Amino acid sequence: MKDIAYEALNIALESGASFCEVRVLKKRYQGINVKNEIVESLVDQTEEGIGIRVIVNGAWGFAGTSVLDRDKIVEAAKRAVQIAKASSLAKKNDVVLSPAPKIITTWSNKIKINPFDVPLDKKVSLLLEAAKIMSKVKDVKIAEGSMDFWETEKLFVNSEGSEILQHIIESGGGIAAYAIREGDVQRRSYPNSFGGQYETRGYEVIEEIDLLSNAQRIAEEASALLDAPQCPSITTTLILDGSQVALQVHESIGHPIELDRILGMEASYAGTSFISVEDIGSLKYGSKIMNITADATLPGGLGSFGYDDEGVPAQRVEIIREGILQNLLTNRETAVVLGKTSNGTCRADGWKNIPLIRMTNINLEPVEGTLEDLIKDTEEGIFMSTNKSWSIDDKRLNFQFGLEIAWEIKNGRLTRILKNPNYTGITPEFWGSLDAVCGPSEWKIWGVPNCGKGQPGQLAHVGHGTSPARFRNVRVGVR
Amino acid sequence: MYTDILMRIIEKAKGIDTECLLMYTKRTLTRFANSYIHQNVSVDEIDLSIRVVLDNRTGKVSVNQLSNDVLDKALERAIEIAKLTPPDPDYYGLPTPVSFSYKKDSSLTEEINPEALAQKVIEFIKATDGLNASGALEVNDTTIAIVNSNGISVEDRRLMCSLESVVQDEDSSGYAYAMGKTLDSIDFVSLAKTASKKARSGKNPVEVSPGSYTVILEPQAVGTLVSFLGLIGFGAKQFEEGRSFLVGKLGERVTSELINIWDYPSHPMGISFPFDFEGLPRQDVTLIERGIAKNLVYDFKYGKKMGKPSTGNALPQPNTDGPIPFNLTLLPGDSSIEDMISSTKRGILVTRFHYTNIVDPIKTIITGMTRDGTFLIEDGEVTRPIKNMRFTQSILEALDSTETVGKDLYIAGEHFIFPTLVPALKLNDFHFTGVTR
Repeated sequence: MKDIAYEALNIALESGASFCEVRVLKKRYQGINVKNEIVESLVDQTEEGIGIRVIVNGAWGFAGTSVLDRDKIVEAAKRAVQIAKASSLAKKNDVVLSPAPKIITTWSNKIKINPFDVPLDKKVSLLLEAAKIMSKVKDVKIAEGSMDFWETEKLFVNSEGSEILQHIIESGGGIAAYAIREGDVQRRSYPNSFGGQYETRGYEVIEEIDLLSNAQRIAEEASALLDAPQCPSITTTLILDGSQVALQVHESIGHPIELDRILGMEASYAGTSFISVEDIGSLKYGSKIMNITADATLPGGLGSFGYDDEGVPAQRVEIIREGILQNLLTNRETAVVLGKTSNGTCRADGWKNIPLIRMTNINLEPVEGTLEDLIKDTEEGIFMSTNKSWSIDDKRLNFQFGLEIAWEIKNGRLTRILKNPNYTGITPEFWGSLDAVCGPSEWKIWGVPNCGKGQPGQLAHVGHGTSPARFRNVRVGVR
Repeated sequence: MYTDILMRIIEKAKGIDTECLLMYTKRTLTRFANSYIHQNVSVDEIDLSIRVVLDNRTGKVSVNQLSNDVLDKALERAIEIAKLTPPDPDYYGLPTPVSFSYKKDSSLTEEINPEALAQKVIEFIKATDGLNASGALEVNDTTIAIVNSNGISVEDRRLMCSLESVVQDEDSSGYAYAMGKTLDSIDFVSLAKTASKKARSGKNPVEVSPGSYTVILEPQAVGTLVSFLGLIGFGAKQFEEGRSFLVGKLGERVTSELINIWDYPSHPMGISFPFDFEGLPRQDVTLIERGIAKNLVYDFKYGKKMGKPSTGNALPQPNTDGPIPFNLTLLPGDSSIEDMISSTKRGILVTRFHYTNIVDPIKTIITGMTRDGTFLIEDGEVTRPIKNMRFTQSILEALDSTETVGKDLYIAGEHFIFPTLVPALKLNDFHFTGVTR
């Protein structure tokens, strides 16, 4: 890997680049999906490739290839330079990078069980067993289970002398039951929807989530939803479970604090942000109990790593303190606007994409108490669990989320189940209505493996440490 | 020919049901924001997958290297995986060849160089006349080759160029999108002027109350409705599992009779490979005819399972989604957008939707926001720009309220979903449930 990386680096510099960074990646992925009694898809994928990013004449260029022979690498390095020269035809100012330390090191995440060492038939059997349990429940017509594992070896070198080799293993999985009757389809998922829970850990993630012990419960909940009344259309007190708070943080905090979005660099695709650079230190984002951090150093978080794809060390950054905006997510290029250095959030999806500002683990810091305490403390309201759909405007203000299940709260107790719950709001007003956040015992880092951004589209693995939280005066049951 | 590489694998796996799929993509994408090029990339990528089936047990391995050593090991691993998986009682064998001919894409020319793309972007930026331009100019040169042990052997190549752009004024924005088989087929100046005009007209938007409105949806907005309808209902697998909105409705009226939706790979404006990811020919399929739900789309497996021939709608196998339509087309009517506006007492003109998601797939309810140009229509005229609004709406109910269908077809891009061919629509009942700042 090293020979290839330095070959590309040297060719780019000889061809006129004033700055160059090279990433060589080897990646393995295994994905298993079962449905009822069959394995619906099982993918074992390996890929390798090189991505070369350069600055020439003050403008960016990038080229990548999956063919790692010398001729192709030389060609790719020269192409990156040619592309940067073309970019410079339509530049306004020269790209200036904030300083970053020269780092020569290796880093790997800690795991207990390498998922690729676990026999395939053991994984398949576990998922099929869970599906069998779910299938036996009345009206459950579809029982699904999945696991995903990634192993990435990534070498980063740049023309400033950094050389960083990282080895990262990620694991995740989950199950879902679909109850179907007379044109009604109701889904329950565990431990989260859209594939389950994901972490930068080994197969122990799968063992800890204990799919078999939860299969019966979620199948029964899916079945019960068929007979449940609709979530009413009212304004009420809303308690969200940790996994939904994670997505709420993701969409209404994680994306709007990306400085490239704020500066208009994503305007044509995902949009911009309601935040401006001048808001730092003054914008009232939410209530006094709202404390948000961006922390790439948390062991096991799906947004954790040693160094980002600009070679900047992983960091813990205070984003919101007592409801007031303090900082933004930055990379080497945008940090200059703030007169700062990068806070290490620049990551690329594989070898074939340029690094962009991506969330790390964006966390709502815990406060106190358990979910049980919080429900007891709520006279009337609705408790919603597990995301079903999400939508938010291009400035990240008006959002609407759908969830799998809700329970009515009466006099501090969960009562009847409600189907098709959803809620809507405007970001600062909604976070301003936050009046309780559960404590450390309920706090968990939820993995989101499908965060989309950029053109061509990139998917990032990010995390959100959250616990259940309560919001007042929320509009629910939008129809 | 990539089929030669794939054939060597098939021969090596003699006696085993084997399918090889290769995709080679050369992608260049020049991205601009704040009226300058800020990202500019070019990537060559190969993806080769080997699917083997032993005693109804499937193993699949994907690699992105083409050396004999890598491919031989991948085949061995696919066989190992197949031995470890349980048998699929619904395995019907691999598809057999179907005789069909196809024309090679004549639009493929010499390689497009980065400077030529930069010049096109400069042309666009200049034509926005000082507004804040952002967008992405993309050229994709894709080759797909498929060979299987039953004798299927197909290979073809397609070039696809597209420009997506948002032009911003102080508190407003406009949008333009085009896709074509060549770079020259895209009129950069015209697109810039369209997006700029929208942005300038959208300044100082006012807030209107949520509720039910007559809407005139420009083609990009119609594309969102049609794309999501395609995602949640026309596939045979979704139907067979009871998850499609068409369950119990085939042969029944599901929309206004003005609505005709096809999966239309042969349409001259579309950019389609002549075969699907199993190597079977793509076919035109009438999905909704004069408002009546007519057909589903099938791949080989779900065709066999449901007693129908494949319509050429397979994704790479095996997959969890089943067959889906790739070239959705809403057939044109006879109206112009100007006619639609002039015939509207009070309504809303929508340029496009943003971040749409499914709320209830059976009821075809989706939610999303308007973006890049939303205007109030009063007494037959566009009177004021309005703040972006959230809609929560059943697609079928919206299409059931169709008053007129536009006469011109446009290619509409929807992120993560295949582009559609659609006209503008005037709908009499469209439900907005919120407004943003």
